[in-house]
Amino acid sequence: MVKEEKESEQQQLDLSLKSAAPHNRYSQVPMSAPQPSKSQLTIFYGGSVCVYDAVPPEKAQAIMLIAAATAAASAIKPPAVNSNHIAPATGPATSASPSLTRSLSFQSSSAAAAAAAAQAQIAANPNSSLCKLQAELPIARRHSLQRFMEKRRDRIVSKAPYAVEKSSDGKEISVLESKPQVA
Amino acid sequence: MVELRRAMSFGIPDVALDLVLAHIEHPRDRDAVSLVCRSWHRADARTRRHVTIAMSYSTTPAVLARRFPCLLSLKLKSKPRAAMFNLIPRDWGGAAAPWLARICQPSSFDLLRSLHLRRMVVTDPDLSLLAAVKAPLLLSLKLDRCDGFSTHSLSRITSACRKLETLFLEESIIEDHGGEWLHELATNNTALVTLNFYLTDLSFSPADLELLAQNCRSLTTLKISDHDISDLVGLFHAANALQDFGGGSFDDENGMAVNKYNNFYFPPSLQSLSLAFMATDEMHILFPYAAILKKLDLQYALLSTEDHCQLIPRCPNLLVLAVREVVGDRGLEVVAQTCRKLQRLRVERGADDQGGVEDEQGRVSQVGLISIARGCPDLEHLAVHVSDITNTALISIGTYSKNLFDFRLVLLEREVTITDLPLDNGVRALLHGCTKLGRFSLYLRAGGLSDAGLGYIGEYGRNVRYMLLGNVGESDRGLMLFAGSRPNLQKLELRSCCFSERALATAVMQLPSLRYIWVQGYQATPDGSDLAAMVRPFWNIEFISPNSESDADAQVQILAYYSLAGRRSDCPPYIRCIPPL
Repeated sequence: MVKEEKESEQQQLDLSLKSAAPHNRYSQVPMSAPQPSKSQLTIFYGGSVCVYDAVPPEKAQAIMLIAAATAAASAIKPPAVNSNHIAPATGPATSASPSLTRSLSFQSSSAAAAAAAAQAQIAANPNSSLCKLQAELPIARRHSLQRFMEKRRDRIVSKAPYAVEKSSDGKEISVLESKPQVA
Repeated sequence: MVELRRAMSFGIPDVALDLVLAHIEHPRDRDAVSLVCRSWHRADARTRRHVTIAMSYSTTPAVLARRFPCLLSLKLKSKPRAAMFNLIPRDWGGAAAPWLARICQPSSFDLLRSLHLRRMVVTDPDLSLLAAVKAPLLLSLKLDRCDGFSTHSLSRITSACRKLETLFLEESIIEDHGGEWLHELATNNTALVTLNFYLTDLSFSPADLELLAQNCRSLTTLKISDHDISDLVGLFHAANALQDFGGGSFDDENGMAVNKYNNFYFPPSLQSLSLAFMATDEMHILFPYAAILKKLDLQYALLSTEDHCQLIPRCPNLLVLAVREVVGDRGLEVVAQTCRKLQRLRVERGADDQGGVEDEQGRVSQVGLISIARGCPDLEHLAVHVSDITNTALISIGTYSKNLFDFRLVLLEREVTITDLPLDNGVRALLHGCTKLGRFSLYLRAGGLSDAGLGYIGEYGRNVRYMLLGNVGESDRGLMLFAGSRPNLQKLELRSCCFSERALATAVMQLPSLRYIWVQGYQATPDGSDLAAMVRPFWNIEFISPNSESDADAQVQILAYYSLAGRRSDCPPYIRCIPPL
């Protein structure tokens, strides 16, 4: 039962349901233990092991979700807190995002459990990744200020209509003399 | 039976009770009075002078007439606040017609003399009816950011209502058929105290204004649409009592401007000025009056940052100041040094600066905010659009602005990189330090406030009654933290947030005092089905789909509010009421 700490900053909560996993980042489940029952939950945490019998699948899934959400939150948070770049970047959550596997497989190999945990960890905070992908609404302008800006533009244009560089788009009018600098 | 009634009224005869209640005006106190017993409920109904209905669909005209038949003054609001930002479809609703019809019924609201409609649709027939029925009594009419009527019915009002002391039309959209309405007002009225058609595009004749000023010796407030103020010289000489002037315009000709406005005369009683299109060359006309000014509005002026730095030092007595971003951090520093008594400050958003229209120094940041916090301890209202921000600035406000009641911050999209985000700690310090805060508005960007920060708003802003939050939080968890603290929010507006529909509905159910919520920009379902989680009695839910006719952004909106009137019957087809019938 070797627990390798890949990430030193965070505690890993290994959920093992004794199911198969294609890539096993986490420690091996002992194969010498007696054959587990279908509703047995084993938790590896910080070097110790807890085994729970007669855990219904919904409860087991709930525990996995809680653990994954917590782990995902602490994985995603540092980029947001330290960020000096507020371009809508995608966080680590989106790098690999298979949807949370809801079906549990009760096979005896341990690999699947690790995969499920990894998938749960990544996808458990889908809101966050969606937040960053979703375009933010532009800040709305107050009607009264907007009218004022339009009138001001009209005054500038009527004062020096031939100074306009791009007349097609109202927003890109540029004039040779702007009002505050008139002598 | 008589003994029982008297015992219930604690031995106080009705007449005496009415006299006592005449001194109780605050709505919350009045609510308490009305709940004591039936007798006091009736006394409240007899003596309540003013009612504000914050959401017109929350009740009906018939209910109002039954409950408060003796009203002197009524204020009605309807469209969501977002209508002032062009976000609400034109045909959303908010018709004043049913209200005016009931008010103008025979023997109805016999004492009503003051009517204020805000963000409602008012038609010419509505106003004509009002003029025909209520003219003898009407002292005050405010059509505040309304639309749907023309100067025809305005003329009916001004010719019939000769005792009018207040006519307020600010920012209403009015079909202009000429200035006859003003002529009627000038010739028929001697009682006028306030005339406001600011930010309308109504045309008028300066001679009529001058006549009005001559006839109405009590004219104190005059705010008008655009018109060259050099035409208004006669007006200013006539209006001896004028304290508040807004609007007008300045002509643009180079060189000529200097002569035309030299030594401009304003009445010495003037305390409040708002001069539209006033530029650098004309600024000097304010100098003789600057020292006595209490209110100054430069939102629609054409001044540079340097101009602000020249003008403001002359105004040490300002209580209210409104500017655009062009004031700059430098200008705010000057404000902080000069305007020690400042109570209200608004820094509005300027142009997006394509083509050098605005001053390049004209940006406001944490530097300006910190100056203001330190220099203006009496500040009660602070609304700012900033290009940059830090936690320190918000902490400063929490430390120094102990009288702050209304705080609004918008972080503009000007800079890609903001100095210090997220603002979790600053927001917490501000809410914790500003103990009198009742209104709070925070509009940020992705990364501006974490989930924990949003939780702080709920935890530390427990007594805030109104909030507008934009681009806050990172996920539904933030919203749950916010709602979980159960702040006593009455009205909530959310924009451009990442919350799911289900989370929104859940959060609403957790906010104990919430009576109104508006949301735009969230993870909507196609038909609002997840809003089922907030279905409850007396709670109207409108799911507003974007449609081709609407002026709004193409984004779904939720509007939900408590109502004793049931679902409204005038919903346009693109609004889905939940649950469907």
